[in-house]
Amino acid sequence: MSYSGSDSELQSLIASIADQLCDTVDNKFDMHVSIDSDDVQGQKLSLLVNFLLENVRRNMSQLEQLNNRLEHKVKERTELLDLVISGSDDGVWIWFFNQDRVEFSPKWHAMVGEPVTDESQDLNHWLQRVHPRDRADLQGAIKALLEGRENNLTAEYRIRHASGGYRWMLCRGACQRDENGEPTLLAGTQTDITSMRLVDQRTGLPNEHFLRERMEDVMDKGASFYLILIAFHQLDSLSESLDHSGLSTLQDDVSRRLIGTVDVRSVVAKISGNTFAVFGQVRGNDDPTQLMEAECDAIATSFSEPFRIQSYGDHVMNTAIGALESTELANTSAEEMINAAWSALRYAKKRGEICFYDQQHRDVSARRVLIEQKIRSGIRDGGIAPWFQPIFAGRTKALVGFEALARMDCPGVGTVSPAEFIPAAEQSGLMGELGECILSQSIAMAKSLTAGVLRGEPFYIGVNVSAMQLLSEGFASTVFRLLNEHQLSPEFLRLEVTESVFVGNIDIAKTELSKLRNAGIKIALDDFGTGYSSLSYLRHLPIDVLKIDRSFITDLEQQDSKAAIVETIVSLARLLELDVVAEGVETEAELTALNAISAMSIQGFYFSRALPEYELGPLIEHNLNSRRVVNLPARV
Amino acid sequence: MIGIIQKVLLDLLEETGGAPLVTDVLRRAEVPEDVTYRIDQNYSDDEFHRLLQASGEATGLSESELCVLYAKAFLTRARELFPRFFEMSSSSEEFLLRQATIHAVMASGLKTSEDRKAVTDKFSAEQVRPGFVRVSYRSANKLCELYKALAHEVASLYGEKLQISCEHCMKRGDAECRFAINWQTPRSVHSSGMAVAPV
Repeated sequence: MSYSGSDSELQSLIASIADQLCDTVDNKFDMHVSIDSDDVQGQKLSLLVNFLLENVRRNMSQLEQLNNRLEHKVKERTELLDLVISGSDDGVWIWFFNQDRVEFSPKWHAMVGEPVTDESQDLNHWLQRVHPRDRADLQGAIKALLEGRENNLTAEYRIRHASGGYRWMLCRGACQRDENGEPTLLAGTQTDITSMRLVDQRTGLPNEHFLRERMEDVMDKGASFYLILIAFHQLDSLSESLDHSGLSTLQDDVSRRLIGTVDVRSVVAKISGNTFAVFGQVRGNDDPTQLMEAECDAIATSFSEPFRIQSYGDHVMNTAIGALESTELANTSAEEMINAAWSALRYAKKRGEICFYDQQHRDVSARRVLIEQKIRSGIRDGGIAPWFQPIFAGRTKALVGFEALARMDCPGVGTVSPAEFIPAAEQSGLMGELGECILSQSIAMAKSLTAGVLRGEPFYIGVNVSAMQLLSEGFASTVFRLLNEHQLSPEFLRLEVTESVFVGNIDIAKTELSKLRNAGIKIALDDFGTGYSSLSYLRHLPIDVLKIDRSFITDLEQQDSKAAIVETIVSLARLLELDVVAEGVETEAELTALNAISAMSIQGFYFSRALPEYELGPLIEHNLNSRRVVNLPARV
Repeated sequence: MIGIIQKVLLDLLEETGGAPLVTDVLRRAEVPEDVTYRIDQNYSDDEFHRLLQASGEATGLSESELCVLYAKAFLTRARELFPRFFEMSSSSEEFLLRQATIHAVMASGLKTSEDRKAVTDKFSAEQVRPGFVRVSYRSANKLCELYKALAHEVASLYGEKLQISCEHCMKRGDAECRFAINWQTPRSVHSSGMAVAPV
């Protein structure tokens, strides 16, 4: 369909529409284009131009609505974010990476006590306020985030407050990157965690972290100080019987009395459930030792007065006091100072008096560290191995078995007594490894004997099992695994436990021991008679043997009371169908007395001390040759 | 209402009954006899309504018969003037979805700024699922019969068939007419977008 008018009319029509469209130069689309022509094609053009304009208007209107909605949403989200930040009491920081400028929120400035400013700062404004000991960690965390090794920033540090002190902060943040993965912006929050970190939440007193920092500050200044630890034994036991309110009141009373007793400039802190600390800085020419001793005496005197405890009436809180004067330990860390004070407190607990850390403590501590190291290496390289003390039938003198006893002989320390290394292993959490090491070697030894000099002979090797070992997960499985590895039949193994294993958790102990017993391993109750054993109690324990403690054996023939006790124990064992072993038999007289009471197994120096593996062969052969190992009965 | 609508009706009357029929209808509708309808201008809805009623009276045709005839004439004229709108759509479903927008934008485009503020779009269409379109129509003219006739004619142009049911109808007192349109037979797809039927 073509245009029906003349060229000039066509030009005039186009010019008319074009002129009207010029108004759109100012983004003015709210217009209506009209032409003065009867030509339908001209009208069609006009119609479609208006159609186009309407479409533009509609799209612009939609964009405007969308924009308004987005602005509204942004406003809403911003208000919400402001509310969350305001509610969290956190400071906010934004680091514009390329400009190396950091913007801080008013709250951030307030946290460090500086005036609020809208001006951005460089990163050093922040970093220079961070405690020198913590700065490297914060920088490391930022670096890890920038390099993409971490997705988020999390760092705790101290930051200098305008008032002069430091406050602990928790910083969290994230990184925004460009299309090449390069950082463009880091942003996050800063939370004041001073109270959470440095205050004991129960009493409101400073905690061990605060104490350590205070010590570090004083040490940095080269000043002297003393540290006193006070343990209140009854706080633990009372915590089980008092209700929450009663316990809180008691803790408050203890705190109040301690604060009221010590120098007003001293710091009183709570560092564990029943242990408080007093930290005093020595000023001027004061004698630190004199100050410390005076504080300790004052504390001891003050706490000799009773507390009135809810439903208990007046109650004296027993204290143990361990103290340390900083000059005793030069060039050391706050951590070591606190450990030394703990060491003094441990002595105080044993002796029941005030104990000051001194040269003797240092030597003991150093020795303990050395022993702990040697235990670790000894477990690995054979420096710790079982020796075997033979056990004989008292009347026939036939060899019936052995007890494996751990011995330690390491380069640099020589032979170490079990009385020293067993407690060290217990305190350093090595008893599990040590126990398995001895058990494994003993089973290997038993296997060796069954294949060698004791082939075809009944015997056993008894191995001690600590409560910690027995109650650890899967102890019985470990024993079965070791037996399997060495292909040893269970009747050659005997496990010796003390009554203490039933004190912690009798159900677990009984379950584990029953598994072992059902597999054919006999269980012996060691040191019998020293605990709280009773007939009714023994009836329910999964045991096969009673080992009478040496304290009932020594000079047995001279003391009727001891003989009576042994007779009672033997009667009890007979009643319960248990075997009996007498420990610590050292004289012929003791043996004779025991044999007169009943047939039983005998262990002690009278027959043999504990022997290393290489000395067992001759003893066994001698015994066999003497035909003393003959047809061992199931029960002696 | 865009002038093309009145113009098609008068052209149809003239083709059918010549100038006397046109004059008769204009008189009955009380529209000046020298009226000229331009396709780029808006005219009163009421005026078209009167013309349609007068056409029925003058020809003796029922409303639906008149609508069918008008629909054919309108689409023929529309395709002459705006072939591109038909080419753009590959099926009658696509065309009817687009038609609501074309009608709304075109009608609104011819109104003055003030008039536009007071008027809402008469048509809106949404595809519920392929083969099922729902069309809303709001107009005091209540020309739903005409819409149905046009829809059927559009389908015919594309060689398709559709069914329309009225879910709501202003004639029954509803706030708007609502048509549910279903295509029961597979629709032709034309690469050119042009209808198979001749113009």
